[in-house]
Amino acid sequence: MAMYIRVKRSKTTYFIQCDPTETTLDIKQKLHTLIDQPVNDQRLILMNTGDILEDSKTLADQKVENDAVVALTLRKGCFFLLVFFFCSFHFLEMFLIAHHPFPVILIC
Amino acid sequence: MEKESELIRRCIEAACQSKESVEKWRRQRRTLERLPSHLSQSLLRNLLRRRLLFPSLLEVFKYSVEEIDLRGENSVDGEWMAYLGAFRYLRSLNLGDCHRINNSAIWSIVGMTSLKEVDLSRCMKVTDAGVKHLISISTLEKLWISETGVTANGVALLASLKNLSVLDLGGLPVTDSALNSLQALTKLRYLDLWGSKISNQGALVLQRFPKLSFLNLAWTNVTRFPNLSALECLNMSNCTIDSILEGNGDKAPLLKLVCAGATFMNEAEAFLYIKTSSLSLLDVSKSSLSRFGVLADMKMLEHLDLSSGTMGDDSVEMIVCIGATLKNLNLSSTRVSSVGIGILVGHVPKLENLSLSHTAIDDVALSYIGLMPSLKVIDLSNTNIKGFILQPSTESHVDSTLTALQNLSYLESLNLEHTQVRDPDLHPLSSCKKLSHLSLKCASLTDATLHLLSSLPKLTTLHVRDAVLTTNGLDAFSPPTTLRVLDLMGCWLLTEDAISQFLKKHPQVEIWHEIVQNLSTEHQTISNSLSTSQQSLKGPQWNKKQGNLPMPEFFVDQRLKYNREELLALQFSPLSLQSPHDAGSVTPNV
Amino acid sequence: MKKEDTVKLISAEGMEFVIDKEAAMVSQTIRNMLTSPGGFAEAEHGEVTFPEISAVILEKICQYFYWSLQYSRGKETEFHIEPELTLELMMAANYLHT
Repeated sequence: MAMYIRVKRSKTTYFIQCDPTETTLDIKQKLHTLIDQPVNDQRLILMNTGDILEDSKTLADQKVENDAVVALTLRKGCFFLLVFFFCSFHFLEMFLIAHHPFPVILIC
Repeated sequence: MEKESELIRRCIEAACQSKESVEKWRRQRRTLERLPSHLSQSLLRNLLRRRLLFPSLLEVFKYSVEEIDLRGENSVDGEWMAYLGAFRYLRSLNLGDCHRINNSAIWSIVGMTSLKEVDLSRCMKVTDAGVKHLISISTLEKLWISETGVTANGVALLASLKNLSVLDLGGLPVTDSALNSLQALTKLRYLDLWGSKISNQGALVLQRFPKLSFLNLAWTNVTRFPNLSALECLNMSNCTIDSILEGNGDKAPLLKLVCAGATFMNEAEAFLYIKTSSLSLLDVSKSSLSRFGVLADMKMLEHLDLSSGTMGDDSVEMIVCIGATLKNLNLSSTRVSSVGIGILVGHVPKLENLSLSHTAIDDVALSYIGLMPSLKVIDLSNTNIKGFILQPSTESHVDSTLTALQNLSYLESLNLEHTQVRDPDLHPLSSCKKLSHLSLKCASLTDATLHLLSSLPKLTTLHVRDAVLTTNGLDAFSPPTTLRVLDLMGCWLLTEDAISQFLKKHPQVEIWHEIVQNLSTEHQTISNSLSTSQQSLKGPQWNKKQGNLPMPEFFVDQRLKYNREELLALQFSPLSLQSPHDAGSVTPNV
Repeated sequence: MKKEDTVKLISAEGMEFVIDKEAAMVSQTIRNMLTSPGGFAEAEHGEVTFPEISAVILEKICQYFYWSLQYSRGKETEFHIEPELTLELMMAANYLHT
């Protein structure tokens, strides 16, 4: 494992070891074993750009580097719920909420 | 103190990066108050080293620091002391060589209740008035005031510091009556009186200190004193010795005896009352000792210094008797020749350090030295070693006598300065894989030597002085990655250009050369920015010591004996006795 | 990656950091908690709470664990420490024997 990323959701941060050649889907599978949420319900967003990570692309393709912070959101029922109430010390997150291309609640 | 972890080290480095980084944390008062003492002390030390410490910054440490070492800091003055006086838990304060410290500066620490150790060595402005301040600190257990302006009157005042166990009065004009008034200090176990005015009469008082285990009477007129039943270390350097430790009761469990430069009035008497069988260190360098029979009983001896004495081949048998335990042997400037070295072979299985400089040994000795399996440090400078033995039959092809050293698998340090070795003779050294220090000084050495030595994997210090090194040779030299110091003094063919080129290519290496004196400031900033390692900061100190191999400290030039650092080294380095700076007491006879 | 191979570190504010046990073992203190037989409840639940360590510092510590793993595997990168974090971080490092 050449690198790790920090996946943040609510008050929890998951440190995930990975390789730049792995795809977003690979990461989601790793998260699945940790949080029991189906891969399809997960959405990952690279914090410093706000880009949503695409399942088929590799981390390297999407400029996800060592120590990168990635936000995890989960689909609950037919909603994509952005659970996003991080501690205030992460102003980046606040920035993201303000500038996120999706509204906080989306109807399928 | 426990060793700092990697992360702590990195934190401290980041905290001491610059004035700006200090400003980022210095207002975090509550955190600073909670800082464990070893962390805050480490932080403070690093600030000092980076020249970022100033009096008002001391304030942030006042609840956390227990020990502070400001030795040799010229800026330390009354203002610093005013802040230090407010340190709540300060236990140990070292102000040695802080030349701006005077009596009024000491006033700031009057009445401190936590203070147990104060070192004011060589603070020349401190006088008897300063002692009056010091005696208000009744908790004091260790006090160093050697080479200050304190007189016999001031010394007598110390009698009220009843808790004193360590007292260094070196270089002070202590009189018999002043010593007499110190009788109340019954806890004393360490007493340094070198250079004092004590006489034999005054020395009788020493018996009143039942715990005395360390005593330094060097450079005094004391020729005899009675038995001291707890004495472990004794220094009588440059004294005239008549009879010591005479008396009834248990013999002193002496471990170290230093009589450098001493004159023995009666050799048979001098050692009569000493329990020689327990001695671990004996230094009789430059002394008048001429009969070495006394050595034969010293079955525990590990360190023996006979340099500049009367030792010759005829007495080497006496060293053989005690060879089994010997680790350090200094025979420099003696009459010992290769024959004598031959006698030692097979009898010194543990010998690690051997100094034979300024003796008449020649290449024959090398073959004997090659048979001493534990050797780590060898000094062969200023001898008749040539690197080869001319054999009449095979004049055309001669093997290097240094080949014998290849057998020494622990060899770390070798000094061949002022010998006649030439480039090809050095070839065998390339297989001495542990060699880290090598000293050469010979006008017949050339670029070939540099080239040869580039293959030594552990080389850290290399002296190649007075050699015919060329600019091209230096350019082609690819130093081992471990190399830190390259001493090229007297290599007159080298140009400033060549040296700066080399420094650019190998910034981790420090070069010593006449030309570099101008470059040095520039180079130091380079190396400082590269690493904060102490090496670059120590540069000037190294220059002072250049040419010295890492011989054990007690092999130091005896003329330096007046220097307290050296004296301390003598007293404490070779054995693992605790230094008086350490907490606790001298290890009792286990 | 299995859940059993991870451990959850909880900061003073209740923020949680889920990291590989392998990384957590960089800390001698955590290693002792997780490996000493029958000693700590932490070992069973795979959770350790640090009431003295804030989230910012705990996260930095975790980052250091991973940096340290990478370093031991021969990857030499910089580990940047903000000067304002140095005091708290060294105290935590001291406590965690890191």
